Amino acid sequence: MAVDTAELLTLLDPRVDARPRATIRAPRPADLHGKRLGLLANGKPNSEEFLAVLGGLLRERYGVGELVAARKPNASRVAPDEVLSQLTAQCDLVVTATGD
Amino acid sequence: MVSELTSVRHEVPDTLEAIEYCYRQGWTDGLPVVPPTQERVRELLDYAGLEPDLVVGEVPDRARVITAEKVAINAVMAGCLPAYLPVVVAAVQAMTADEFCLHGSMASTGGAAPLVIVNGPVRTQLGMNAGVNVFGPGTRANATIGRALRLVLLNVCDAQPGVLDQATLGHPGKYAYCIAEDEETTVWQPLHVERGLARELSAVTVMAAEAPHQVKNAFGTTPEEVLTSVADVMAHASYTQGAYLVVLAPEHRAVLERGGWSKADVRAYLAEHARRSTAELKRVGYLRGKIEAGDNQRFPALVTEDEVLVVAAGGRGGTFSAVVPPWAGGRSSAPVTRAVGACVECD
Repeated sequence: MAVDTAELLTLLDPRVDARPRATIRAPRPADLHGKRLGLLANGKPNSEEFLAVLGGLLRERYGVGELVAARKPNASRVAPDEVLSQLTAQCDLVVTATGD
Repeated sequence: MVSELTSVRHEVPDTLEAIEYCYRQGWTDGLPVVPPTQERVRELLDYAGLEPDLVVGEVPDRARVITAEKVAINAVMAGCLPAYLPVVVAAVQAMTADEFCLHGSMASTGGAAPLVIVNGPVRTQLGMNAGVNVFGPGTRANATIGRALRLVLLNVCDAQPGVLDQATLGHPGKYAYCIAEDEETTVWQPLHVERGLARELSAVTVMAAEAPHQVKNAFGTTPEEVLTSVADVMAHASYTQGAYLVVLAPEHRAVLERGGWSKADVRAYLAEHARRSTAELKRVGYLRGKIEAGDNQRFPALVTEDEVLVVAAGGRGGTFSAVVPPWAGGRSSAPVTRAVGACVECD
């Protein structure tokens, strides 16, 4: 039997799409040699230890230059502007990692 | 002028098919939902006097804007009556306040849920339960207001389990977690009054919470004896400091009130006694490192006594109370109180 379209129920979608954000991806560095590398820890236990080892490996294997350690004061929040500004000013690239 | 509902429309043949359709779309918490028809959604918004495009809250970390229309849709799906919408809206306002740290608490492996505590006249208007089985099932307003928040998290804030919500375990309060305070059987100040609102207002206080842990003390006859048990449970959950909730049920409350203790007295006692030595915390694995000389200092569950919320609720029979520990993120999230029916855009 054909469905009587007059009796269709109209439901409203409960979801929301993310608001579009104007973000620009930085160009990937061609190589890491001599680059200043930021290491942004999320503030959880072992995150700084992990990044320190990673920084050492990147220096040893890929010739990364200066290492700049930074830390989020709160693992559950976005890094504060001053931390991001410091990294932007002092680094060519940044690795951030979640530890726990 | 009343503005239009702008959500995407989905057409389905009938109500039962609509319930299955909602499942297929991934819109539910695992339980069946009430189909969010435009007529029903409009009914809730009209009751609350809210324009659909009113911004109730935002989650900047997820670039999500939560409008009254989306709150109403999810409230309908949860089974809310129109009169419940103002409470749900206030709770969404509360949990999207910056100090609540919603993104962290909903995404965390710690598996917390927003717990809503309702105060003021709206409790009786909506027939909310503050008594027997207060954390349990059986009351539509408690169950559906709590569930509406979960559906807002799932559908609007993107907190899908295993995707954004990475809770290792979660807990049953993640389906619905809403209680009322029993203001009628106590001489104590209601929670919203303690937190700065007028007694005649209705309000919600929302905290990022783990599951309730029951406290038994059948033998205590003094306030100190009863609260020693409460402090013990708090101390044993204190791998994180933060805002605990203590729900005191009538039998325990009678001992405290007979002793002339106010909520402030309870808070002060718990701040002093809900402690465990650093050595003990190291021994059981809550703190890192080997036990050393000097590790006998007492580590408090509360940084300040004001952090613990004390609420009167629960059934008349039984020598039980409850401790609700904070989300594992501890002091990253603070409980937030908002008046019900207050102007959403006024601050």
